[in-house]
Amino acid sequence: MTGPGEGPPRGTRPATEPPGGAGPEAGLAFTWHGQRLRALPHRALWWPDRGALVVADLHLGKEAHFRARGIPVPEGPGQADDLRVRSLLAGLGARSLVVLGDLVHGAPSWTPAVEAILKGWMSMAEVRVVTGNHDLRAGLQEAPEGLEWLPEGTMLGPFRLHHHPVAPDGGTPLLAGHLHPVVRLRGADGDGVRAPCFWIRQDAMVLPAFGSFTGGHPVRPGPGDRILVTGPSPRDGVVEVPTGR
Amino acid sequence: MGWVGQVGRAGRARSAARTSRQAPPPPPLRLLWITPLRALARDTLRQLREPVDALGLDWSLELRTGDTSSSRKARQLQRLPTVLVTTPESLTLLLSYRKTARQLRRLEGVVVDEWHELVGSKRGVQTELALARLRRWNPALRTWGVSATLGNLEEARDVLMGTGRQGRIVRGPRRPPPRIRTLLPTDPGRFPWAGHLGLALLDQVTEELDRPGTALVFTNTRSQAEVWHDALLQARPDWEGEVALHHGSLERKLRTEVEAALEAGELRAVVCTSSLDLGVDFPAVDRVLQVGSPRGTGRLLQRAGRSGHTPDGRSQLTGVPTHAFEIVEFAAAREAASRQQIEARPPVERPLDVLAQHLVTVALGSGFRAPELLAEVRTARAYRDLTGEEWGWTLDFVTRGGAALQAYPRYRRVVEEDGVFRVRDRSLARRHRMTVGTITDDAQLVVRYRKGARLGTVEESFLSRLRPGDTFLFAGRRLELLRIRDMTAQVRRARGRSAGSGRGRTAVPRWMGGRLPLSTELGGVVLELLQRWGEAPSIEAARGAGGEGSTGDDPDGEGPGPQGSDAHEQAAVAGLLEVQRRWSALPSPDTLLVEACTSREGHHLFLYPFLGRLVHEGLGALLAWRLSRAEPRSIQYSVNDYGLELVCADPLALDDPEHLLSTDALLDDLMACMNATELARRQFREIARVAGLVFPGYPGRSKSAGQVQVSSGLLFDVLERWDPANPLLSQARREVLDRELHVDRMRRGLDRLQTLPVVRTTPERFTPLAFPIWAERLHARVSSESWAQRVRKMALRLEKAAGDAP
Repeated sequence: MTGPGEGPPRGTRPATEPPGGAGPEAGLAFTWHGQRLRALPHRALWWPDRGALVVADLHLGKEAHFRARGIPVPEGPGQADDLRVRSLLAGLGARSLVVLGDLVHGAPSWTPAVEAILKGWMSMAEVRVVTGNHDLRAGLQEAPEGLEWLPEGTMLGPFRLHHHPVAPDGGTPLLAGHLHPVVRLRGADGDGVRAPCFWIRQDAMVLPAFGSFTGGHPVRPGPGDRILVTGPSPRDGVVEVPTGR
Repeated sequence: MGWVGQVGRAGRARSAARTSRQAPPPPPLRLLWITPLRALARDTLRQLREPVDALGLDWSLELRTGDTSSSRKARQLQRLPTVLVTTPESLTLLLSYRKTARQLRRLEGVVVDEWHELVGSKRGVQTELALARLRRWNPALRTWGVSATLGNLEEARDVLMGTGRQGRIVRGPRRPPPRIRTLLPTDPGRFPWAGHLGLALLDQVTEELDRPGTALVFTNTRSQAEVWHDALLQARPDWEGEVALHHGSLERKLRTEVEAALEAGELRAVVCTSSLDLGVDFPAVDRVLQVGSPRGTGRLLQRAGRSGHTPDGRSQLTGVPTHAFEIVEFAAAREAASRQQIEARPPVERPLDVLAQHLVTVALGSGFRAPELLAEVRTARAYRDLTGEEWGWTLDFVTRGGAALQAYPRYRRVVEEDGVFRVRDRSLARRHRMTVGTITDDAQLVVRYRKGARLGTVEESFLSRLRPGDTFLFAGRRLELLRIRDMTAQVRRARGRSAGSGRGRTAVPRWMGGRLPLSTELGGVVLELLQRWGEAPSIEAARGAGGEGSTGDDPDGEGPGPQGSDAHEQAAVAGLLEVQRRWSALPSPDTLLVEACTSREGHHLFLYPFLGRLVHEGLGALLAWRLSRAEPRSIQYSVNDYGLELVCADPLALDDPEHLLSTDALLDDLMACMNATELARRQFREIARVAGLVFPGYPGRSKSAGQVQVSSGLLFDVLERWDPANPLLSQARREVLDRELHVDRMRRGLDRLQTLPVVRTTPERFTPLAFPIWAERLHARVSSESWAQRVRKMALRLEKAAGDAP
């Protein structure tokens, strides 16, 4: 197994690699509960005033998990996700990386390759992880030193950080993951698209799953919700679609 | 089909002579009888048992299918019966047990029943591989195939025999073709031009069923069967208990009950789908009705053959058209049948997913040495040209996961020990056995009453759109959905079952599964008839001959002679053809009709090649793409079985048909315009399942499989990006071209169209032929817009339950 940073991933189509890093101008900027935020087409959230890159549901090591069970999945997705995180951290000059749970997928979780990837990130920024259900199953004891594990509900600025989206507690807005939200869109001529999205409600924002080897679950936005969809490639940008308010 | 009996008799006589030396217990396995349908297996067993009992043989005869109890299966693994009736999947499973593999070595004969059903599919390839294995153990093994008439009967025989073996075709006495008549609307003028539920002829079908005797009412889809069953009972509530429903999604118990009642002659009618297509001979069936397009001649003959035969040996079928042009289709099918013009079923070539599955199966069973198994596999005709490279990749795929995984030491599925490949991991073995086979289903939910009785299965995608309290039609019942849990939908009878209880609309499940296109052969005959009937004098004449109901024995029809003439059908569509001719022109085999007209939507161009829906889909995309490349613009297209429509904001013309219809660069152009990646991605579902990349989980344990469950779509994306040379991907693309787009047919079609003079008309409105295509509304678009532009134009697809978000 190759370690991180040993050459570009296999394959020919650079689909989710950031084209020349992510400048601060990439994505779609908006203000939420007084904070300036930017939804990045790389399926990550940039919070400039805190210097924080927020992502959810990486599921590192998922390929290895499958292979150990006799299902051949190539090595690429983890490497691509690693590359994407590193170039975002560097391109944005982020001081911290906040993971909203499910950093890893399941046994074998803390493989040398995963460890090497995490060490690389920790050398660039402070890495803080809300414990997700997959992380708990993988076991936190064997996790590499230096990761900061946050219990659900940890406050960061005005936001509560969660893995599982929970009921609003009367006003404190929360950031969460876990759902892997996608929406289905349909054009007048039957043309259809299914895309990962940021799902923003009054007091809660659910981030799309960051991992390249993750599926999605369709969500049903209610009136007043905002949906920001991310394209198949970062070049496609982030598009807000109306939710029939 | 006629030669079944003869072969069967010969086989029995031979074996009977040998069993004269008696010895209890019953002799070991001698004969395998492979049948494509479980329903057929029971019937076959019964038919085989009669002569065996009559001869006083000490043979044991048993079934082994997916329906067989696990205790019996376990007993069979210890000792197989003398005669085993089984399916291709169950046979493959037998090969995966070491002990049984040893017993199979004694096998003397194999009968593959209804081979025509298998030969064109991956199940056929699976059977070929199993036969190759059996033949290697016993080179003297004798193989019989039983097949209905096919356009490629010789090829079907060669596929069954494997390479390097000679086979012989034995034909039974030819049965006269069935009598095919068509129910006709009393007022043809009001008969719809399009549509597919087609209850317009309900009254006449009811009349038909009111006659004494038992009828099978075939439909083209399971939804249509549900709708017709319901409609018949609404029309005649007194038939409750006499009209039954039978389709593949119903619980086995319900199906068996219907089959038993049918056999006992207790039923007036069974509304059914292809689940009763095959050879189960119910002597009690007096009549067969076909609702909707016959689609293909072979298929219609097969269905007609389900009816009990009249003294003169002819079976009968009554066509129930659901729209006007299907009247022509039935007449065309009758003509094609009398000319013995039956469709071919080309065999599948070298599918690596099936091979990968087979390698694991054999490794699980007796284990294998690579060179020996390669030689054996190449005796299966599907793999006669398997290259060393393809073999090497497949072997590598099941041992090390393929080239992209070379470096990963933990991967194991098949392991090599002293040159012998085996499966050592018990959980992998179990998982493999759960997934043997090549039939892919969508995620299915079990439908059951709260009190426990199971009714059958419905696709998850349908049920997930319903909310508790909604009612839907299933298993011939109006059901209320209570809740969905653990892959089970709990239901209860909806109140007010009979007559349309106005409690909102009742949904009808739509099962996925390909709508069969009209066959190219049948399409050709339809064109001939349209031309022949369209000749002016005969339209007038036909109108005179018009009448209601049957197309009995009008003697002066010059058409198919003893088949009964088509004068009544001709009369029924005469008015329609007249409109078509007056507004535009009638299509014919010798011209290419192109209609250009305008509407609020823009400029429309209609073409009628009559090559079937799938070919038209490819053709539509191809023309739209070539036209928009000549001059940048956005063109939409829409298709049906008869033709295709192009729509554009600007005027369209087929100015350069030679270029537009050229077969040069056909594949490149198709890949470029068809969103071939998306199609291949969809096709990959089946391949990933067969090759063991995804699996549906263990029955009743939906959760335990969750952690290694992944959608085939996601896997496709990952492989395409990080293992683009993976041959399973190229297989998916090839299958899309062969099976989804029917490129061969398209190429032949284009070659012909190019030579035809174009007849261009400019009707003021949509013509009778154009309207159904326009109404299909399955517009697809060829466009050069970016992802973001497209998405901005789209609206969220709001589900019924919008606002109900978690």
